[in-house]
Amino acid sequence: MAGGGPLTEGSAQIVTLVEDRLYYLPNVYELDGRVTTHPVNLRGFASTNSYLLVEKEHALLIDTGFSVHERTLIERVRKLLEPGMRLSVLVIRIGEYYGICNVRPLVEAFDVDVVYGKNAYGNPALAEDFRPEYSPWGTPPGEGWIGDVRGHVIAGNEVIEVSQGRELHAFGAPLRLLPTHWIYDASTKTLFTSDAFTHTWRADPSGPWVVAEVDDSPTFEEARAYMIGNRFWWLPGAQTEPIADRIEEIFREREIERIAPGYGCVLEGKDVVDHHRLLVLEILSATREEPPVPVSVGGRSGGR
Amino acid sequence: MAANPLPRELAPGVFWLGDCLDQPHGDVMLHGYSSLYVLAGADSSVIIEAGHPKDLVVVESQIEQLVQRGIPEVRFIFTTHQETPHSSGVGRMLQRFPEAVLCGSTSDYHLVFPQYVDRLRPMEIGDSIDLGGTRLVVVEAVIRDLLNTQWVYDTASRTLFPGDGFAYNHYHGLGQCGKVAEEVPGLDLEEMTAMFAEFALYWTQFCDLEPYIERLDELIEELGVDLIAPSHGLPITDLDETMPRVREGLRQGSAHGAPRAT
Repeated sequence: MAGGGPLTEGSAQIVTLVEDRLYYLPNVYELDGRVTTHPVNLRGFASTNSYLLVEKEHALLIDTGFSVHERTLIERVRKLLEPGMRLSVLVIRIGEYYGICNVRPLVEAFDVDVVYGKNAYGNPALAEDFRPEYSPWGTPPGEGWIGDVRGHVIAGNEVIEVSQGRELHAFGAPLRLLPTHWIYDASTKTLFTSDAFTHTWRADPSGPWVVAEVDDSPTFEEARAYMIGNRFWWLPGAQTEPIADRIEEIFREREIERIAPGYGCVLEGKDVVDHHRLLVLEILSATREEPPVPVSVGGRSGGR
Repeated sequence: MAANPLPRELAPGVFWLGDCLDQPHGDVMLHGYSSLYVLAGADSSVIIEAGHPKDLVVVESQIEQLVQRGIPEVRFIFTTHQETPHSSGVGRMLQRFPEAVLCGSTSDYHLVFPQYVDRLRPMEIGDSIDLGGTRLVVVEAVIRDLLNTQWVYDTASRTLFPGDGFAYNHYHGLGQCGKVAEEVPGLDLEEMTAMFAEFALYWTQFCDLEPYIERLDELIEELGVDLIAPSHGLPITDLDETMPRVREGLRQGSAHGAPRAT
């Protein structure tokens, strides 16, 4: 993918996870050492994930991909929305680009009523209005349609209503790098995990972007190398018992049949969910006993 | 609210830019910065960090003030890492300064600002930018979130720009905005540092920070730092006075202080 251009049209898929209720829109990008989501030496393809939740006359889109995904994302959302359907947008990681780049284009293209996002960024709708082709130098963010969109700050544990009878539960993410939430959709038994459970990628841009078999999973060594080679570089030697305890509690208290990460493949089915939950817990347990990483481990630009 | 006291020249050619972010905490209104700095050399200038989305118009006006005052042409933009409070103005800056290139760890930007892919200049630790009369050197980021984070150091003013390092809020109600740390004796730097770490440097709750504190001290000694210009804290001009309080704040927020799992 020279210069970050769009991938083939075949990579812009719509995956039905739950008919008429939950759609998965993978936004594919190349792992070429130039992304912050993966170790610099990892090669292949990943997807930054958008999810469209539909309930009656309302739809809610979780995360919006990078700018290079703008056209294909809008085309897919347009295919899924029925006439007259309202759209809300929720960005799980408001401070990172992989989920926020296309909020403004979506607002320009659709009847968006609310943009949800975490606190400390002011109005979530305006916090994502940074692309110069929409909001040029010297102009205040929020001009145009986006200025009329209501921003809703997700302050902590909170219930977000997609539509009457369809509630999402947002709560603090136990395993994370930057501030974010995990979100649980009880009606589809789906847990949205932001930058955790992102340890799957593909050799080919066509995917598949759903892991439906336990055998279609990275090994312990591969998943561990992925985690400590990037977001979770700090795990070796860390006192991770509270993190592991909270993950176990979350999965014990909820019926979870699908893990929907911010990027990487969707983990589909009870057996696959159990396998990956145990895999992450095993990594947390093993790295706890390891010597800490050297302080100087970071700093590679990944650009050369 | 008092007028924004920035931009402020901290040392010859080192300008502090930004605006406060309201952060309610109980009954008290705290303020935090997502600061930018402009470093003006004899031949060219660099903008260090690119601002919080809510600050873009304010900091762009501040940069225009400096341009009108005659700073050398902005030819470089550097961000410590890709989190949006540090980088959201990158695209608008590249639009405003067509001769400028974006330097440092340039990951993700080809996906975010594909129209500027030809103006990305990746740098590694030890690389430097010659501004004329001074050099901006890429150094390791001791305190970080994203692994690819880089800090920079200005050789002429001996200023360290440490991104998320030295991050802490301040009290708006006590007139602390726009002041350096040593100008606000009422600043509860230890608690503020621990509080910021809990929010933004989650990992520090689970790790032993002593090796990081030790390396921070070594780096400051090796470089001969006189001035610290953080992205989220007030600038530090007297290291002997303030560094002990920074160390204590890091310890309070760490695993050996008060562990707080979500």
